Amino acid sequence: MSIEFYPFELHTHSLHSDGSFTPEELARNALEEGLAGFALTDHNTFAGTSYARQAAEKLGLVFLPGIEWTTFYGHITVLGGDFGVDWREVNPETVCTNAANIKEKGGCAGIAHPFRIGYPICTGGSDGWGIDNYKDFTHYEVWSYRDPSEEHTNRLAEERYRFLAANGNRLACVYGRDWHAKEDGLFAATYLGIDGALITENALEAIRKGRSYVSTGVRLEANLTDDKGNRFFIGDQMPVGEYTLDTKLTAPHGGFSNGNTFSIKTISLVGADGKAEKHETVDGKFTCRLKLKRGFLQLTAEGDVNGNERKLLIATPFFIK
Amino acid sequence: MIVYRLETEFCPRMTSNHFRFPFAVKKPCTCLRIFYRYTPKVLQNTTEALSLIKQCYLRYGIDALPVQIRNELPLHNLITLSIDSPLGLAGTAHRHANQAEYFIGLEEASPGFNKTEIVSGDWAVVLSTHAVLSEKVKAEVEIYVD
Repeated sequence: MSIEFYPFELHTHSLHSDGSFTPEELARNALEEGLAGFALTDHNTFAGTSYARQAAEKLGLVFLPGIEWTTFYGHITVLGGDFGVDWREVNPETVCTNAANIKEKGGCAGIAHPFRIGYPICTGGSDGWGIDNYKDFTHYEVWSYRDPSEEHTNRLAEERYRFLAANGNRLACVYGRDWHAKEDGLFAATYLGIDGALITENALEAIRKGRSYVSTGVRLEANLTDDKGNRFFIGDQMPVGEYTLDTKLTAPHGGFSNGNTFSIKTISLVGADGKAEKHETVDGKFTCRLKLKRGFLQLTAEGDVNGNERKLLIATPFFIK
Repeated sequence: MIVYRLETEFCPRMTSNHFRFPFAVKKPCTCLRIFYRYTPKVLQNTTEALSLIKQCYLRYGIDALPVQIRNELPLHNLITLSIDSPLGLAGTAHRHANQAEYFIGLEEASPGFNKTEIVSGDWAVVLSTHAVLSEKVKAEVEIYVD
């Protein structure tokens, strides 16, 4: 299996809801930013889908049709198509059933900006669903909007994500720029691990399998190998045991890096107990032997962006059963 | 030709609901034109708005500075409009403007709405109260067919 990670933006808006881009402008901006693809997730409408798909295809971008259910109880990005759900019927009693139906049909439903300051500043902006078990969901926005690692509400989302992972929820860790207009700042992307051709279905499969990390531009290669030579990737589930962890971080020039400069310093190994072991990298590389207990192993990376200390990326964990 | 005119009022306790207002299209036509307006857009009582923002921040464990609280002003009422055709949801206009005109037809439709055949039957306007902060918010809808 050969997995290649590509940057995607999975949360965008056009003038079919409250964004300022036409779908064509959105596609052009995605290309200019070095993204491999994007999802159109307008608030409560699919009306822009055909325009965005056509524009993406013309520019050689992967397009994920989607919607953001913008309800009174929270926002959910649904990726993969129009599954016939009326957003007005999504409420705390029906949300899991709707998410399960979407998953069954091959789509992905995930929690958007779970700790965004909510009512009355951003109505329904935070996760007020009261969900205990996220088995019907595929992804969770750990980072949102601008300068994501510095945002207080994103730190709350990161903590909650780890709590959910520690309780057996296998959710892909994603970023949502919640892109409404052209603006300056430090943004991130969701890097999806594509197995095979760079096409919509394989991007959705990466989300379903949790082969993802969020990053401001630094790239991660990581795998665990057991004594029999079996290799596991982020998002995979594997038995308790001894493994060799191989990681490599690279700061790219060009592509999705927004013209930012990166200095990679450490990689952190975070366990289900929330404890992080920080390790220096050598030329971006770090390798070690690990005895993994039930829970998870999550990788994060730290360093500088344009001279400012920042968390550089957060990955979906390896899940240890 | 006008087929429906609505004037209604919302108050804060009506927040987080969908209000459905049925209307009939008696014979098939080419286009539905919708004029929508609600007022006021912002909560004009600044003292009340500042208090709501402070409480909101505290729910997230943030003891916000007065300047941070002021930066969130003004607070907005937000009532979005959807149209149901006899066959189901024809689209939603999730916008922040409180005055808009939309059209729906088989060949063209305003952003947010699907291209939809204007068949005769039972249609409906649905107003979704995402935020009603002012004591009284007046909403008006007029629908014409061509």
